[in-house]
Amino acid sequence: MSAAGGSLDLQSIGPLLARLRTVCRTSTWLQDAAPDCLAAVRAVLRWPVGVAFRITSAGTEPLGASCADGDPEVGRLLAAPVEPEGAPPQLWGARLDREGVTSIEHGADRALALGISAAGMVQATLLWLGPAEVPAPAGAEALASAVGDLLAALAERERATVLAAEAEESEEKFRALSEAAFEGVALHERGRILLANQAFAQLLGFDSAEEMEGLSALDLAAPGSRALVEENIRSGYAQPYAVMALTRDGRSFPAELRGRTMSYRDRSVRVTAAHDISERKLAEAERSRLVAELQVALAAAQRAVATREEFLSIASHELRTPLTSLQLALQSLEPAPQERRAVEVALRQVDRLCRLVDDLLDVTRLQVGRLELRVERDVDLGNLVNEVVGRFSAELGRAGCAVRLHLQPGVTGTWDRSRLDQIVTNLLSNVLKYAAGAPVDITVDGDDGEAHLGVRDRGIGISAEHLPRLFGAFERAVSTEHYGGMGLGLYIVRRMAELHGGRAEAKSPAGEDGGSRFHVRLPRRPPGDGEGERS
Amino acid sequence: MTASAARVDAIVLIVDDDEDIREMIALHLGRAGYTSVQAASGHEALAQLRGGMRPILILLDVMMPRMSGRQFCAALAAEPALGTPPVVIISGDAQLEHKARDVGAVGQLRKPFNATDLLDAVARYRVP
Repeated sequence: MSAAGGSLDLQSIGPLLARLRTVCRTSTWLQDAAPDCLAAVRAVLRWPVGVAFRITSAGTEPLGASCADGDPEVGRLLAAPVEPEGAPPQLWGARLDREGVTSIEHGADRALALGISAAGMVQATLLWLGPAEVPAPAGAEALASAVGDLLAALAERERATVLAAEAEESEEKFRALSEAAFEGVALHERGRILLANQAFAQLLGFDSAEEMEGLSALDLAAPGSRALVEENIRSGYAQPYAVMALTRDGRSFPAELRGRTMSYRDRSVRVTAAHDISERKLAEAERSRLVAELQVALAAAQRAVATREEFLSIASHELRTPLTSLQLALQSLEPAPQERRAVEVALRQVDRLCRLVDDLLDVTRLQVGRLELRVERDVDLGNLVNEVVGRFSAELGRAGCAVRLHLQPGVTGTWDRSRLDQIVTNLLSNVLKYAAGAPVDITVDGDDGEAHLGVRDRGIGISAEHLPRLFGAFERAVSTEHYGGMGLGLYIVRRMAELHGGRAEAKSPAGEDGGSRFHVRLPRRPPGDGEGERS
Repeated sequence: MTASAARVDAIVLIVDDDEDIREMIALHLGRAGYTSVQAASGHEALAQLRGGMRPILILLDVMMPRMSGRQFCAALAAEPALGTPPVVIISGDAQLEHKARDVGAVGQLRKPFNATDLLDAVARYRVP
């Protein structure tokens, strides 16, 4: 190989020149764009000795050198230090990072340094050394500029390569993510699909996601849903909404869509996630069906309650009418002395029948929540107890129950008089039934807030196991073998107390003189009555 | 006006489809000095009133076939010519108070009632 300045070993110029060559050889565009640059490089390469440096923040680094004809100088240069022997180091240093061409003469030698800039700073310096009589390469200034451009182009290309690799990696990650997503996801721009994942393709009956690119997103909605989808894309609606989707083969199914509009490289694109909600819709349909069934059942139950109410109303009437006739008939009698007892018994039993009918009707009304209190002010509990005891005096006498009253005067309240009467009556009936032959103590007392009615007998008592059930409907603490009754009395006592905002409880203390103690506590004003004591 | 147990114009009209109860009510009223007229239905009672009878009180059963107590009251109200005798309804229904108000009765007598309840109610609600 021969050239004007002797043969050149291009490979020895170093990585920079090698790269320059590669670029020059492979890049047509570069040859077109920078012919001067190439010419300049060739001119440089004909110069007897060339050394290339890269200037970095760490210092000046030799990239390589070329020489002509095995000049012994070359070995010296290649072996570094890069400065020609005898040259003032500071001079070389000063020149090496200067842009453009610097000519340095040193004795018989001459050096030409070319600082090459790219991206606003000196990136490399080409240094030629030769005898002073050899002329410097022509167009060095142009060379500097051209090589600078070349390096800048190389740097840009390198950056682009890195970016492309990063983008590719990023896209791979995105694809991996989108494929891994269980939900169908598609990216579209103004309704045109740019990208879809496999789940999205499968959802809509496509074999692969690639097939979907470029399709109109609106065509994937059933005709009846298109206006909604279009409007939501237009408005950027971000909440989930249900549509009918259309598969490739024309089958429609309910789907839930959720879209988000975002900007991507100055474009407005929308990511839409879709999933099949057929099962949910089926479940909803099933639920609606169940609700409908429940409503039917509820209506039936309500009818049954109404029927029962109606039955009770009629039964009540039907039972009470003969009782009334019977009572009036018995009261009209003027019995002979030996018949008087029989008439008394008959009247008493009519009375008992009346109470049983009342209890049955009350229990039913309590259980359907149809019993309402008719409260009045200043009902005197002590007086009421006196009345009831008076009414029962004959029966109590016959049962051998001496009643001892402990009535604190003035225990009044806002209560339903007839229901309070029922409480006292039922407690006394209980005494008659389970505590005959022993005295009974009835106490009425209380404070400003609460009235207290206590009934203490000395009868059979209540075993601890029965206490919790004692106030339940149809419950009794004793065997039906020994005691009759419907088991409603104490239930009514409790519920009437509760309707008044109070409570009823029973105790059966061991020892002492046995028996049972019943306590009813009633607020003196009904709950919610904010009015103070009347003066 | 002079009160007299023998006054034939102190009539209590008893409207009930149950014959036994009508008779028992009539028996006690008679002993107390009232004259009673019995009607087995609302139609019968209206016929009596249209015939010119002006009772001091009507004891009215609520639940009756064909014409209920409520319908009877409505019919009575629609014919002012029959006068406006006080009506006390008698029923075994616990909701009696509401019913009495609804039909425009002056009072109520809840079954089962005894002779004292009956006479008290008549004395309280009758036209003086």
